Amino acid sequence: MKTDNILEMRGISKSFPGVKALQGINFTVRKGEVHCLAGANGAGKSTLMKILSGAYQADSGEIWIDGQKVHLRNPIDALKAGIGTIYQELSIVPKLTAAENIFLNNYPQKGLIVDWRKISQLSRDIFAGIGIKNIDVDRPVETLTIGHQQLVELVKVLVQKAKIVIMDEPSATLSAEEFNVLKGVINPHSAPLDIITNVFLGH
Amino acid sequence: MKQGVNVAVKPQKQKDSFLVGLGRYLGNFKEQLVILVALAGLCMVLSVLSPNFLTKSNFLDIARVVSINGIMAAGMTLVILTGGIDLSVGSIFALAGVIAAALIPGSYSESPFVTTFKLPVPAAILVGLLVGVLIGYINGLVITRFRIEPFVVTLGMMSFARGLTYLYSGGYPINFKPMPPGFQWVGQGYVFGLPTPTIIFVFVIALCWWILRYTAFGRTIYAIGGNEEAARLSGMNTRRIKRLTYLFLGALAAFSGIVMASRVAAGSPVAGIGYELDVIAGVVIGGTSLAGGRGSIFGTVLGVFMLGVIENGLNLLGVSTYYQYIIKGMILIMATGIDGYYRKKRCY
Repeated sequence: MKTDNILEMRGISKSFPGVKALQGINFTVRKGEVHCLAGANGAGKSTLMKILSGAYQADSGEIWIDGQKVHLRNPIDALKAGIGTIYQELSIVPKLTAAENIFLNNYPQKGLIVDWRKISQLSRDIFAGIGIKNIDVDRPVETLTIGHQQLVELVKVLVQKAKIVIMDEPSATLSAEEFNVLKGVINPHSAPLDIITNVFLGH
Repeated sequence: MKQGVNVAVKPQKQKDSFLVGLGRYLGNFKEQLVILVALAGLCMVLSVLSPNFLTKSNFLDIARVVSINGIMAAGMTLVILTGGIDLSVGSIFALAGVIAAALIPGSYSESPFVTTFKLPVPAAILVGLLVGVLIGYINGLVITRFRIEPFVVTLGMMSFARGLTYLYSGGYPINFKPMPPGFQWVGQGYVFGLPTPTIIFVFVIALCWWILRYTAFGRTIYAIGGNEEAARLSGMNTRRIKRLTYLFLGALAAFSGIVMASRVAAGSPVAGIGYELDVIAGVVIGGTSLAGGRGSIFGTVLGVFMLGVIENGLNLLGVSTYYQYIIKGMILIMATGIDGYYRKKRCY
């Protein structure tokens, strides 16, 4: 049976020494939905997302993506299954340009040679596509604002053809203006994405 | 953190003006420009102090000496860019030189292991190269598989390979009587008026520059040195890339040792002792960060020339070798200090 559910997590449990972080969690995402996990500190939001991104292993439970059961042993497995994660500690290489970071390990090539022109052009096009024009993709990422760095991460995840995007507290480091751009990107009516956001909740 | 600083607005599809592009390009070489200026200044001082400095034969001499270290320094740049280090280059250098020399027709030695079995010159050189490849591969394998610090692994290999060299040669040099012209050409010949080792050096530099700038392998090297976790999360096989850099350096160190054996017309078991210092110093003086992720082949070329010119100048001025060690050590520490200063400035 074809299912609308792009993601199903069933009966996920996870314990750490001395604490039961998750107990029989069920979580379903349908295509085009945006979810927000909200809860107090220690509620288990991050643990659940880390299981989905392959950083932790669940003690029990199943994960189904697009109607297929998957085993996510590490972040690379998750990436291959179409789960892209934007980490809070940025996972970009500061010295390399924004464009190169986006195509890291995914370089368009002309024969043996990395096609720099295409990398720049594609990056600029993708940013334009999400409504960002004032980003210089040929500059080292470390010279960009934190907000732009996070957008680079987002675009990188899109290029990796993620079906599901996890953002851990995406607004924590953004300026108001950058946050608006981000809101536009994760708008379910305008973006061709299935996004789960784990939004920071003050308490 | 530099928050809220807006990036200059850049209209879509419009090309940078030539000057903006050039400025940005040169901006990448700020640190190298400093070395270039220092090198030029040094040359000017030496040309005043010694009438022999600005002669063609002296420059060819510098080029020849620099080339031997430079071939290794090029490979070392790749290793250091990943955040690694290789202290065993001097020992690989000697082992490959001795083995290749022993296999070349016309060579003889007191060592019982050096037999009358000989190979054609290119085959003997190839065997020497393979020895370097093998040792480099073992270095990389132990470092990535068992997660032991590269410093420790290659320090151990430095001793291990040197021991093999002594064992094989019995401590005796391998001499030639006579030396085949083909092999002689490798270290003593000329191409277009330049020493063959220099031509090889130029070729190796061009190859490494191309690898680092244009191949996915080269870009991965920068990514690993810049943020290994990010590289791994992008799905890169970071261990394989690291193994390849040690293997490549092993091959270049072996090649350099073979060139040296030809140049001095002997495979010496004590060749290359202390060369790791010169090679690493050349890379570091050239602005490549020991932390990885930052640096260039262009810088390494400047770094090894800097060391070569200093050594040459001190020789011309009749300064004792003892002082040369002291001065080289000081320059290395200063270069690392400058590197640290630049890094701190970059950390906002």
